[in-house]
Amino acid sequence: MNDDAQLIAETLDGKPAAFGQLVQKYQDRLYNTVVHVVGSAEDARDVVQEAFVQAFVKLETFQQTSAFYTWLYRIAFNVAISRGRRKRPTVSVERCREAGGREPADQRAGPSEQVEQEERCRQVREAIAALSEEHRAVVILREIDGCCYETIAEILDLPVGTVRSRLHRARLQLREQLKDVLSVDGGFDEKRAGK
Amino acid sequence: MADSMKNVPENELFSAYVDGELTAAEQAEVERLLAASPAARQLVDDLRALSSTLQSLPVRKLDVDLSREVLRLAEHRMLSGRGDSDADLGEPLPESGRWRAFVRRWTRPRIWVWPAVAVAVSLLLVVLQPEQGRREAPAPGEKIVALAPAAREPSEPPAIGALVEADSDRRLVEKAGIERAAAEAGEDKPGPASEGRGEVAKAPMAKSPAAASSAIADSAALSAPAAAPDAAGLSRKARTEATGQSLPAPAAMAESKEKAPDEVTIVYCDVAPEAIPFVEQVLAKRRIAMADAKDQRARAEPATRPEGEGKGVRSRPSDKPSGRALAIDARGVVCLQAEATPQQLEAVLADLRSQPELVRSLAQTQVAGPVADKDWDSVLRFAVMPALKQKGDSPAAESPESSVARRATKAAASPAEVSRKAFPAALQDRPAQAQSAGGKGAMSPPRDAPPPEATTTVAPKPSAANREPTVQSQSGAAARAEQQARNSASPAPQKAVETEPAVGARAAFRSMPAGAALAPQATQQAMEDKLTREFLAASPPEVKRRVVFVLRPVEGPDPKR
Repeated sequence: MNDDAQLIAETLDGKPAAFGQLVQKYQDRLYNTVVHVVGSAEDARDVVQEAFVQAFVKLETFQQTSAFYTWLYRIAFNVAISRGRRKRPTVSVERCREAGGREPADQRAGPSEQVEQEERCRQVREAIAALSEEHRAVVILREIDGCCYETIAEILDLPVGTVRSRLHRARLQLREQLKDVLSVDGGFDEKRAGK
Repeated sequence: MADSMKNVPENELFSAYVDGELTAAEQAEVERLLAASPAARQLVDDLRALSSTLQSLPVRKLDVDLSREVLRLAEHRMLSGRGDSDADLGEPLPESGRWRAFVRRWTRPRIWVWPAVAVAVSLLLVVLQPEQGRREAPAPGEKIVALAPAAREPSEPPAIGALVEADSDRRLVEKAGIERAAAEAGEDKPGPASEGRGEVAKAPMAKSPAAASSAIADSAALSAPAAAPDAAGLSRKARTEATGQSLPAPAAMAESKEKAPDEVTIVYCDVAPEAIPFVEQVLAKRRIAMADAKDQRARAEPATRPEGEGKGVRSRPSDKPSGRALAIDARGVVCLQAEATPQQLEAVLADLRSQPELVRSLAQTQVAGPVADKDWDSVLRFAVMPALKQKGDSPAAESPESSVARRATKAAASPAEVSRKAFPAALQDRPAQAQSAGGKGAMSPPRDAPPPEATTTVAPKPSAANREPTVQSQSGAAARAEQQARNSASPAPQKAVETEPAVGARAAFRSMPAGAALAPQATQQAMEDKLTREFLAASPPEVKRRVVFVLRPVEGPDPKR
C-alpha cells in the first residue's frame, strides 16, 4: 500500500487529518496545473479547494483503480469546467501574474535577463490561454504537469488517440504563436539557417 | 510514405515521437521519415523546443495551506447534506475571499434577471392600474364593495395573471374600504345610502382580502356600465391571462362550450338596507345551500356566513343553510347565489313576500341554458343590470331613494302588488313576452317583466349551441316583432305540456304572463300560482337549480307606514 492509499484508508477510518496530508501533498502541484487552465490565480485557488473538498466528501466512492492524484485531477478539471461554463473564462495572464505575484526570479540572471524571462513567460501564458479549452487542458497536463498520454486520457476521459491528436494540434498552434520566443531560446531560426 | 512526407506538419506521430509515446512500429516509421525529410526533422526540433519552453515556466505554488479550510468546508458540507454540491462559492470563504466572492456574486448579470422581471411586472401593473382605477372608480357617493367571490371553475388553476389580477383587485378592495371608512367617518355628508351599504361591505373585506379580491373582479364587471367596452375588454384580457382562455364577449358567449348547471332563476328584490341579513336568514331557514360548493375561493371566505358556522360548510351537502353574496356593485346591489329546489325557492319567495316592509318588490326571471361560472359576470352585467337600468333606476341618475322605491312606497300592501305597482310598464309588455316565452330560454319574468322600452333576452341558440346563453338587447318594438315571428313557428306551450310534462310545465310557467296580462290581477295571480304549482309538481323535487337573488337596497319609508 502506497502512501496515498494509506492516507485514504486512515481518512476513511475517521482520521480527517490524514486527508489534510493529502491536501498538503498535492495542493501546489494541482494548483500549478489549474492556474494555467483557468487563467486566474484566484479562480485556481477556488477550484483546487473545491476539488479537495469534493474529493474528501466522495472519498468513499474512490475505487483506487487509478492514482489518487489522477482522480483528484479529474475532479479538479470537472470543477474548472463547470465553473468555466457558469462564468466564461477570462484568461488573463496579466491578471494571473498580478494575482500570483511576480515570476520567481532567476538569481543567476541579471536584471535585463530577468525582464526578458518575464516577458517570455508572459508570451507563453498568453499563447496557452489562446488555445481552446480542450487543447489547453491536454497541453498543460502534458507539458506543465508531465502526465503521460494514458493519464491524460484518464483524467480527461478521452481515448489516447484523441489525446495524441489534440496534443499535436495544440503544439502546432503554440509553435506558430511562439516563433519569436522559441527562436530566442535556441530556436529554430538558427537551425533553419543552418539547414 | 508519400502521404506521410507530404503532410509532415499534420502528422501527429511526430508529437508523440517527441513525447516517447509511440509503439515500436510507429517509432520505426517516424525514424524513416526523419531520415528522409528535413521538414520532419525541423518539426521535431520545433516541438522539442516548445516543450522545453513550456516546461521551463516557473512553478506556481499556493502561499497558504488549504488543508484546514478544506476539512472545515468538507465537514460543513457533509453535515448539511450537500455532498455533491459544486456550490463552492456559496460556502463561507476565508475573510480575504468573502469580499471577492460577494463582489463576483453581485456583479453576475444572471443574478439580475429575476429582479428585472419583477420590476417589469411591477411597471406593467402601474401602467394598468390607472386604467382599472378609471374602470372601477365609483361615482361620487357610490362604493365598490364585495362580499364574496363569484363561483368559478373549481379546477381553474391560479395563474400568474390571476395573481396579478387578485393583487390589483385587492388594492381596489382596500381602496373601497378606505372610502367606506371615510364615508362612515364623515357623517356630516348627507348620504342616505351610505349606512346600509357600509354595513354590507364591512364583514368580507375585513375577513378575507383574498375572497374579497376575487369577488371584486366580479363586482367590477357587474358595476361596469355596459357602455364601457374598454373596461370590459380589459376585464376579459385580465381573465384571459388568468385562465388561459378568453372570457367570451356577450355576443360570443354562445360559442362557449363550457358546461354549467342548468337554467338559473334570478330573483330581483328591492329591499330595505337592513333586509339583506333577513334574506340571508330566510335562505338559511329554508336550508338553501351554496350553489358551488367546490369553489375554493368561495370556501376561503363565506362573506355572509351565519355565526358559528364552520368553514367547511361550503363543501358539505346542501342541507347546510347558507346564503352568500356573489357580488355587489357600485349601487350596493347584492347578489346572493344559492342552489335550491323549486319547493325551497317557492318557500323562500313566500317568506320574502311576507315581509313587505323589508322586501318591497320582488321580480323573478330566468336565464335559460347553462351559464358557465366564468360567464356570470357577463350575464349579470348584460342581462340583469340592463334590465334593471331600463326600469329607470340608473345609478348615475337616481338618488338612493330611487324612483322604484318611491313608487313602491305608494304601492299596495301585497308584495306582489308592490312589485306590479313598481313596474307597471312591465305588465304592459307581457303579451309580447308571453308569446316569446314558448321558445326555450326566453327571459320570462313571471311576476314582473322588463319594461316596454327594451327587452333583454338571454336565450340559448338551438341545437348544439343550445346550452350556451346568448345575450341580446334590443328595442321593445323590435323585440316584440321578433318574438311574435318566432312564436308563430314554435308550438304552443299548452301542447308542450301534453307531450312533455316537465318541460311543458316549465314552458307553461314561462308563458304564464301571456294570459295573465289580459286577466284581472287576482285571476292573474291565481294563474301564476297554478302554473307554478304545475311546474313544481312536474319537476323532480330533489333537483336543485341555481338561484341568484339580486338584492337592491332602497332607501325611503316603509311602504306600509
